[in-house]
Amino acid sequence: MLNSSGVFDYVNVLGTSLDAAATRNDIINNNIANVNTPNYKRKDIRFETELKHAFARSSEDTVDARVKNLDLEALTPEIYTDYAELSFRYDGNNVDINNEEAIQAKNTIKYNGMMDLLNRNFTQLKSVMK
Amino acid sequence: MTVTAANDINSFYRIGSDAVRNSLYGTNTENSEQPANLFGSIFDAAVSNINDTNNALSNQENEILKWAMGISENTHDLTMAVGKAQTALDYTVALRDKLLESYKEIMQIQI
Amino acid sequence: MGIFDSFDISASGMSAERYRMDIISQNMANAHSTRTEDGTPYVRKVVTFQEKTDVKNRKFSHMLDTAFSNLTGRPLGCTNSAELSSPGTGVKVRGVYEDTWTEEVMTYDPEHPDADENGYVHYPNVNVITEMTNMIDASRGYDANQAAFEATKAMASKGLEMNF
Repeated sequence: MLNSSGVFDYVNVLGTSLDAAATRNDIINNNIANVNTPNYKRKDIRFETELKHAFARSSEDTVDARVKNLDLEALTPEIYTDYAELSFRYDGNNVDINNEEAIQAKNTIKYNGMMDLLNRNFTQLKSVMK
Repeated sequence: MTVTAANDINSFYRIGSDAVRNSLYGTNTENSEQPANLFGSIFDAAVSNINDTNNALSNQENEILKWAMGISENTHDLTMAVGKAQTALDYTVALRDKLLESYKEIMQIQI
Repeated sequence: MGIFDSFDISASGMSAERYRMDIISQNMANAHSTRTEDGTPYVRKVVTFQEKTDVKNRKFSHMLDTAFSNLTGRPLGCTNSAELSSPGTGVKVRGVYEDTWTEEVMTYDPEHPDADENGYVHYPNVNVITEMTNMIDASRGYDANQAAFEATKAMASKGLEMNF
């Protein structure tokens, strides 16, 4: 009853996005830790574009229905190695520490915002049951 | 037959949602077969609701155990499981109170 | 990946940079040591890092790409991105090597007790300016790892916020 009603649909999407943000944080940590490793190439994940495509591909009419029918299992973030800017440094490493810190700042804000939204979602549900 | 839709927490939560619209037009796609009687449908809905609540609670216990053993992947997994369990429990308790209240009211009817 | 593994990643980065800092200090302290235990002048030491990898979590295509990229400095033609299944597990010190490619400094000083038969003293191949530059680099790396550590800590506590 509860699950089929779709009341947790948005919460589940938030959960998947939170998982992706946590994975990205790990990856950025690893990039920063390897800032002086010769021939290390930075890594990142594809998640936001995948989510956008999954929404766009959906044939449902309403946003609610699209959220309900998202295949969240298929949206696990895909980690890839970024070979861009090969000539950036002499040691074959392409980590730009300022870039990584900027990505991490963005990611942390995103995570915090989503966490607030998650809490707000539960508060809203609770307020209708008073 | 709007009983199943009225039990649907979603209808309170998002006024414009499909659940409300379906219940208005009497076309609930999820429970297309009509229950035999009104009481039976209420009872079935209550039982499935309790099952869902139990699932949410055991899922929360699962996350708590994972947390205690240090094998959970992220901190928000625990928070989400606890939030879901809390919401489900609140909903079930609210439903139970309302059911008991209406039962009492029916029993007080003078014949 | 458990929750605390991401702390370990930043911690490994901090340990590695601190180890590098130790070696740089050792180089600077011995910038004028003309004699070691075996009688030769001190030789500058260099630390190299290596990514700590979880071999069982890697895909073959990525291992091939990494090997090729290490050899040639560019990825294997057709695959410009190799998929991984784990975010990585940090960094480790690969080893400490003696710097054999930098020339040692020779100074003419016949009075010096360690002067050779021609009156030249062999000073270590340590350039203090280079060491200072590397030290700033190591320090920056350490700070960046520390900032990442703090960010992870903030995220983990945020994830436990339950005010519903």
